[in-house]
Amino acid sequence: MIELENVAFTPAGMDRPILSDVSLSIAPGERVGIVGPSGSGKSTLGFHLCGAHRLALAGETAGTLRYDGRDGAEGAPRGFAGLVGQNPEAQLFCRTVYEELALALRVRGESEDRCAAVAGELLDRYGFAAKRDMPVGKLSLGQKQLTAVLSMLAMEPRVLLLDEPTSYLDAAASDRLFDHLGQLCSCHGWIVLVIEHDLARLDGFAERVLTVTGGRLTADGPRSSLRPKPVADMAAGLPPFPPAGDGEPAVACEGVRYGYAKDRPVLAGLDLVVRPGESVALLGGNGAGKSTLLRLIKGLAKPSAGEVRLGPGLTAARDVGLMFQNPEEQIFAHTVAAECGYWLINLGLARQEREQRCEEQLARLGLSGMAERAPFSLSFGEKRRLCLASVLVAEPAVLCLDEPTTGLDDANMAAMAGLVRECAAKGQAVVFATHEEAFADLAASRIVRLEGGRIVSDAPNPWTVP
Amino acid sequence: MISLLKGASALAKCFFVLSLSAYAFYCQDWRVLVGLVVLLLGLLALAGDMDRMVGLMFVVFAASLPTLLLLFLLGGIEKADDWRSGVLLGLDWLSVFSLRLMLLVLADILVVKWTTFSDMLLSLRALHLPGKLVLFFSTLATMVPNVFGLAMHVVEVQRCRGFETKKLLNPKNFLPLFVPVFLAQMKRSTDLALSLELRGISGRTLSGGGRLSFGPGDVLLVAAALAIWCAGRGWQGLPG
Repeated sequence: MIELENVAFTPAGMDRPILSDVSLSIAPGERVGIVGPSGSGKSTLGFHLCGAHRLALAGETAGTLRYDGRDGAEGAPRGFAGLVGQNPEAQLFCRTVYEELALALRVRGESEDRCAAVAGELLDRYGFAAKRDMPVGKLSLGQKQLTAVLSMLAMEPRVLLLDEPTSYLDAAASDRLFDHLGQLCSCHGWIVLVIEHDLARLDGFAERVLTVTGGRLTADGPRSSLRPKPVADMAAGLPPFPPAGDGEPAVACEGVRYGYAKDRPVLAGLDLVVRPGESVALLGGNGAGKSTLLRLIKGLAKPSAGEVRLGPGLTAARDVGLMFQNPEEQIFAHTVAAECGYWLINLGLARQEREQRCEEQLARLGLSGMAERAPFSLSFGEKRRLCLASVLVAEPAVLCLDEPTTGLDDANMAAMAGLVRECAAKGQAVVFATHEEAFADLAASRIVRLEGGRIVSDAPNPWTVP
Repeated sequence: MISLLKGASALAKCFFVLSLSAYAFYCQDWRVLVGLVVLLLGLLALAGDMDRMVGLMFVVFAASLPTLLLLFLLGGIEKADDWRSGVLLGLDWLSVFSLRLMLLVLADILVVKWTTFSDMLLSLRALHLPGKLVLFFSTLATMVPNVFGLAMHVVEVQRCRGFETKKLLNPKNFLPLFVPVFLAQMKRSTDLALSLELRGISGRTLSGGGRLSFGPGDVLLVAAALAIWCAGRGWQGLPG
């Protein structure tokens, strides 16, 4: 159904192709994984495979492309492919979840009954029916990602390209999604293309794996070629955890309740204590309240009941650092150094001390030598580290990280885990929200699971217990 | 009454807002503009849509006021014979300018809050407008509230690094807010356009799916859109 022959793509303004010599064909019903390092051309290949290259990319495509036997130089026919990108927020614009799912069908001229039936079936399958009429803006990032995927499933394309579709989804939703996609491929002949960093996740889904390196297709084979790294291997070389402290808590949450709407509490009487030197992973399904808890610790919102107390002498503004999920919503400065030192300027530190601290943190995070570079020119992983540096530079006593591994491959994830352990070893209290169990195993000394706005388990990380 | 207006077609709402916006730039009298701003705020309040977005709009206006004040005062003083009348002239210009801008943003918020994106698209499709134009107009109309939403998030992100609203008195402190909002919005717009294109929204064939209706809510809005011009004729400084 998809045929590419000697396809190359040169972006506008560049004289060398970033994708070249790609020849392959994909038959109906195939489940294809696309892997490779960041910036290797995975997304560019994905856009060409689903025939969205003319819409998504600015530049020149050479070679022969055929979709369903027809020439595809100008792209695939309308309705042929669906696509979900990395940032779910950028793909949602309707007011409610239902509106979002029904949009493509309404545009196609389908009756309201049919729209309701298709949307209802999808929402039921994913256990999302209760959110049918919920405003999209009130959803958690994971729920937004699920809505973006469902809105594409609702239009029933023949080819579906998913770029990191589970980066914000919890394990249950991810399993459900891949199970459903597998059925669509085998029963309805859909082609599903998944760009994924999580090789373990891909291992359970893809029958065929395309490896892209430096803009070339370097491998095209069965899934057995995937070798997800075991956690124990990734943990090798990481600094050890400090011994558990029993001093004054750095953060103490007592009976914390909070909700974005009065009748829907996100946190319903949560108790949590984090001591200096501890690294606590918050795990839980989408919408469990992980990010909300971090916002409360940082003081960005106040609990409707209960209390969030910080250690003696600590203030939320000065002593709690919070790194958000998307670095592109933070970076503004003209140089990496200026971005890194922004909090220090606001704290009124002298220039010399600022420069010294920035230099130290940038070196620690592998960004030395980039101080004068424009932050916008960094890769996603580098931007992430820069955002972390810009928080660590103020040496907060409490460090909160919201999904710190999104978009990071195994090597970068292990590096992030090493940093978390280092911070804990220096006496900082670290709290991070993640849906990545492997990262929690690597980076946490304690694993806390949230469900229904409460803690359902709170135990030391079994990987660190002798 | 409010539910009648909210249930009106997207085209009637757009017509009302376009008429109001055009009138705002025609009208020179700040009292009329204040009246219209109050009217829109009243409608939003009655509909229960006075949320943080509306609050943020006032914060942005307040924050930009010192810079605008300086610019308009300098302009007024240059134009007038003496500095006293120059200050008054500058203040008059500033009030009219700010009220017009406020009116535009409030009108946009109103239409976006009262109209779903798909209603807007399908109503515009019913007019057989070119697909790209439908897409452009629909995304333009939803852009202002989206940018406000994004701005609120960016403010939160920068607050985590010591940003304080009072610092906005110095215009250079807008950069940590403006740059991420601008760049993130650009990136989002690209992704959004791609997502919409793939869902067939801007396709050349506009067959089916259109929505065109004319109910009591539409009559009210069209009448209000015309009444603005008629009612304004008696005011000093206005045509008529």
